[in-house]
Amino acid sequence: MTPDEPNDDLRYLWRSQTDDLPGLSLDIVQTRSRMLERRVQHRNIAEYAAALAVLAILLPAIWTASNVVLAAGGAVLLAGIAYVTYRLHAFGSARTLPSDLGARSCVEFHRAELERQRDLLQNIWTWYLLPFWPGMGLILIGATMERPEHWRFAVGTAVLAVLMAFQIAWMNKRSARTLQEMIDRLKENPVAALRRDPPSLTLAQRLSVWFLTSFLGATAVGFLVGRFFPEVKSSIFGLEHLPPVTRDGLFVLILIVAGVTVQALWWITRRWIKN
Amino acid sequence: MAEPAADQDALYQQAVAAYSGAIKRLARGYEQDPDKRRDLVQDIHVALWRSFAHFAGRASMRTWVYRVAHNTAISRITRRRARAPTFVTLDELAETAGEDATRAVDRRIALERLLALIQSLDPLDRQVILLYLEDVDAQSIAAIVGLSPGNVATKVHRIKQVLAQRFHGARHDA
Repeated sequence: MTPDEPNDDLRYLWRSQTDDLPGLSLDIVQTRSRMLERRVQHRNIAEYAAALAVLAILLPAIWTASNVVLAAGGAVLLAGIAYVTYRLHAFGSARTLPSDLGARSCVEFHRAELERQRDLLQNIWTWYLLPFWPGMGLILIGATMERPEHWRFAVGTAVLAVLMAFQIAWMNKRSARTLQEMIDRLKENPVAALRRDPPSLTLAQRLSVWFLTSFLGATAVGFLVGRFFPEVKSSIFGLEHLPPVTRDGLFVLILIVAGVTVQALWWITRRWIKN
Repeated sequence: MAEPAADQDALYQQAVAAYSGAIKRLARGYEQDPDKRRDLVQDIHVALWRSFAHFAGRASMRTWVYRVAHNTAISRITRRRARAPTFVTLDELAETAGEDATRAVDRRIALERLLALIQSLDPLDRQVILLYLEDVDAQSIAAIVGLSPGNVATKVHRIKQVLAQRFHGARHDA
């Protein structure tokens, strides 16, 4: 075995490092703790504001819907958004301030984190997919009843949405399985298990989320445009001389722009909350 | 949030008096950038103060402080891990132990090298080496990290070998 003496020098060197950071008083620590709580409150306020904004957009849309299927779709979508917001809120709250940092060893702490992530991914159908898809489906059916000539767009979107739902579920199940393997390995060999990166969202999963928010964004933008700038909407859908495929293409373009806008707004909001 | 324990402030101040320096050094092992390091130290202090609302004395003060500090630091670095350079293990480090890294006479250079070595390690090895450098015994390291004492003893043995190789040019059979 290597003698300890040379390493004693290193240990002495390590412990005799010059202190280049200012000390922290109890007041500062308590203030920082309050700031942390305020940040959580700000995040909650932003979430509630976003939920209210969705409510403000969807409620009039439901009220003025031209057929009952569209109205039912809006209502179901609204309920789904409320449920998902609640689940995300509960997940975020549990994540922000773990109170048992000192009660658990590093390996136990790591295992609890993995188990929490696994449970979230395993139950993806019940907390993420099912709340959204029925509402979106009804809206598509209602919109097609309103404008039967756009049936290709409706069918295409529906097929894509269903495929993506299964794809998201499959990806998440796979990630959950990887996490479970890591948890099992953690019990047998913590050293090897801690070396592996936890699974992160794949590009396909990110695209799926992007598609979902794009659809919601397009619904909102479509309503707002129709409500406040009816001439713009009618000029798009009024291009009767264009073939239906081109008009559907224009709608897809709006969907993409709306999606990017929603993503940008969401990114700015998150940055604002973080700071 | 739960009502803080009556002696939360006193426990925190006691911990800071004993381990303030160790927390700062530990932060150096996790964060190279001075601003991020300062943030990490503050995060650890806040986590520590909050944690003492739940301190029931089942673990020693030292074990508690190190667990809070390491768990806070690990939470931060694993969140950034996708963007971070790949970590290595002690065993991998021993295989590449170096020709030009021997006999660092200058203390500052030696310290920089030591920090670079620590920061390249994966989380568990990093925790063990930081605790070893703080002169924490193997039994306590096991309690803090959550490994078996035998596993920690093996790791500490490897740490000694790697440090000797890297800083003193000692030869050994891995």
